[in-house]
Amino acid sequence: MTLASHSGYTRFFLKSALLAAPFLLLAFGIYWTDPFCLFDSPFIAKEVKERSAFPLNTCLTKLIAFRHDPNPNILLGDSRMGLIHPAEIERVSGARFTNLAYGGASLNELVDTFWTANRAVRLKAVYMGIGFSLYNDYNFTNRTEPAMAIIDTPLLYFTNLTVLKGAWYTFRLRYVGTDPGLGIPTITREQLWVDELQTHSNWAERYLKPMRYRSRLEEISQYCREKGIDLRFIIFPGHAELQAIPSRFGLDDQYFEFKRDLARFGPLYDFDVPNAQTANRENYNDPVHFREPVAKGIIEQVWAGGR
Amino acid sequence: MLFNSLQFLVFFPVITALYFALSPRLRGALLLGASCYFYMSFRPIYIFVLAFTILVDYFAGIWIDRQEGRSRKLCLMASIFANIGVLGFFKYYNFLTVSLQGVGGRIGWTYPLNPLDIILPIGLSFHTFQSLSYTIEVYRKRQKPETNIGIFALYVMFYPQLVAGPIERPQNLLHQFHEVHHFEYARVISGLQLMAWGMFKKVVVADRLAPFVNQVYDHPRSYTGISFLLATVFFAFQIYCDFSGYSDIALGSAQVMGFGLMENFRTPYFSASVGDFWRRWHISLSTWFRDYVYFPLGGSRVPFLRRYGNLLITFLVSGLWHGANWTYVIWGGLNGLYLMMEQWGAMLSKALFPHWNTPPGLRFPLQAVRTLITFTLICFAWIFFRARTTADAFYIASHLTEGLAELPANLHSLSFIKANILMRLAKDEFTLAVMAIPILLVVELAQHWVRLRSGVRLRSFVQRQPVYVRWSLYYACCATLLFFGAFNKAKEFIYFQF
Repeated sequence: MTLASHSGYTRFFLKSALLAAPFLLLAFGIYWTDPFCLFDSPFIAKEVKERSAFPLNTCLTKLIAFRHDPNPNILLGDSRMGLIHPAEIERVSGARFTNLAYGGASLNELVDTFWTANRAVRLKAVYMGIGFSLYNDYNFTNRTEPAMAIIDTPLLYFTNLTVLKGAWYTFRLRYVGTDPGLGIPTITREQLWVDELQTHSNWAERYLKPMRYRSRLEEISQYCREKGIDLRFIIFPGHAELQAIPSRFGLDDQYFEFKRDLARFGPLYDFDVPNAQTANRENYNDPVHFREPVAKGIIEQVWAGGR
Repeated sequence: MLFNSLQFLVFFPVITALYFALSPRLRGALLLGASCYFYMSFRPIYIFVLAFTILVDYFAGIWIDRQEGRSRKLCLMASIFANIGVLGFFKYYNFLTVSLQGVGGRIGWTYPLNPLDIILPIGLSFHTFQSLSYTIEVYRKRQKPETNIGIFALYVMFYPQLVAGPIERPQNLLHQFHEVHHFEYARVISGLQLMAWGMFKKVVVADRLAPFVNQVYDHPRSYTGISFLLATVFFAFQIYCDFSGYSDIALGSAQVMGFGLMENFRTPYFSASVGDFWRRWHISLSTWFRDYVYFPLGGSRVPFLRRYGNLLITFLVSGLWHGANWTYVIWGGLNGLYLMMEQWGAMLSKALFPHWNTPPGLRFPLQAVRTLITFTLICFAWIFFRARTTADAFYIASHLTEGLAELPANLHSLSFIKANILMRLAKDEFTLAVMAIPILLVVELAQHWVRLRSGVRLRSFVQRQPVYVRWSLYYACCATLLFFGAFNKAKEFIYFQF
């Protein structure tokens, strides 16, 4: 090694260290705030993070929490399943469930979450809340994959923009007292009502026969049968205006096929039938999301041995 | 092992540190071992395909050099036959079989062979072409045969450019394996800068655009005009950043160790004509086809019609090189047609306005318009390159303007924007993806401008700036890479499949 290359090495390593220093500091800051509790870092209370970071990525939050506290009984679904409170289920049935439902979830995410949970614990009971809008190959989003990547490779936690954002909000809430105001609706109930109907109409308009999803669900169904896992499906009640969408787009046959498929994959609780409850706007925040009393009724019927 | 993976983050510094720490005599062996490991990390068994190519062309080079006349040509033909044979079997056998079965079905003839369950060895087209260029150059007496099989093996499988080029020429690369490279601070920094820029293109631009493009091109019948236009423009940037990003990382990592690879891209989307675009896009392949296909066919020194025939053949073969699918053939043909039309246009305008000189004030606007037209034509051709089938490609191409008249009214609807502009992905993801494009364009424009004005590269220009400017740029670049890059799952480079 020549003298010139030796001094070159020294210069290179010194400058590399200088370049890396602020990023290492930032990584320490992320570890300190630990916005999604990946490391169970003790410096900031979980209650703070519930306001400052958790709403930024519910999928990541729930999967990390599940990794720390795996539970053999899980609930999977979208925001409708999110309205089903495990505490209420425990009250009526005595069984402890973990709710792994995410707002705006796709069937992709449900299936991936099932397999992720299955890797973490020997599952006993799985309740999947699936709507017709999910049973559509066009509905493809998958936020589970990046969340799982972070859990599998914690180094990615330090390079994720949402984690960085969460760390910053948590830091500000804890040390400056600034609440980021996450989860506060920015549109009125009427706007939300119209927007939800339009979104579901878009899905219906672009309906793609769920070939991929059907086979993925079938695989889960077969696996559950083999392993003795209690797999059940719930179709939540949509408002009458939402229920009318499949007919409007000529998808009646596909809608009944969807119900038939689910019934084939496991016991099915079908609440999505026209009745006085679904006709009443007062039972809903928007055409998709029912209110607390409806949720309690569903829990009673499903977990207290109703149907 | 992908350049954008954690494994490479460990592999590259370890190999580079060992490279400089070892005695020059052992460096070749280290690089060869590292290259084998790098290649085998994809699918170990295919190292034998690579070994076959290396052995055939190593001996072919020596034999060609010893022979004269007809037997010299026979040796070359044997090498070409062996290389193209391997490429043909792995890449085109199924394509040919399915195509012939289709034709047979229409004329009532049963084609006797069936498709096989073959997985294409990664980077096969690249290292086959690189190896072929060696035997051809030896045949043309422009390159001495390499007698050290280890060095020759390194020439074919040097890990930075093994799986997606640049497709090197022996005159540029072979001799570098005989030289001793020292750790030079400025060169190492320049190489790392190039790698960082390549990584930016890949993980911040290409991988962030990919989900939008995939959604539309995987379900074209669920979308209309605006989504097709957006997805196609996004794809133009995705493929450029994906491939030129790979090339930059390859060039940069080779440069850190002291090797100079050929430039593969020169700001191609600023080209003012399709011809210019092809002189600046995937330069190592374009020049390969020029030197080994177009020129041997007669090039442009042949009668008018044959000349265009040569051009079209070269582009059709280039399309087929990219993939065994009719979509690639059409893409190649379309580019060939563009070039033919461009040349006719130039001839016609010369004949009609022999004394025309563009006034100085009009030069820039005209150049801008021509650049825009070129970009539009190239984007249109990308539809065929990206679509899964020819039917999908024609569907997209024929529905590009569908619903555009109602667009201003629809833009008031949140659900329309979610479904057709955001393609059902998160708004933040879309913002990040779109924001990266102007950053890319500004840097590329600066690169173009600096090169035109001072004849140096942007990196050299940056090196001359005051320390606070340089370091601000370094920190900004690292932060952008770390926090805006799509690292969740290392995505393969598009050109790996070729």
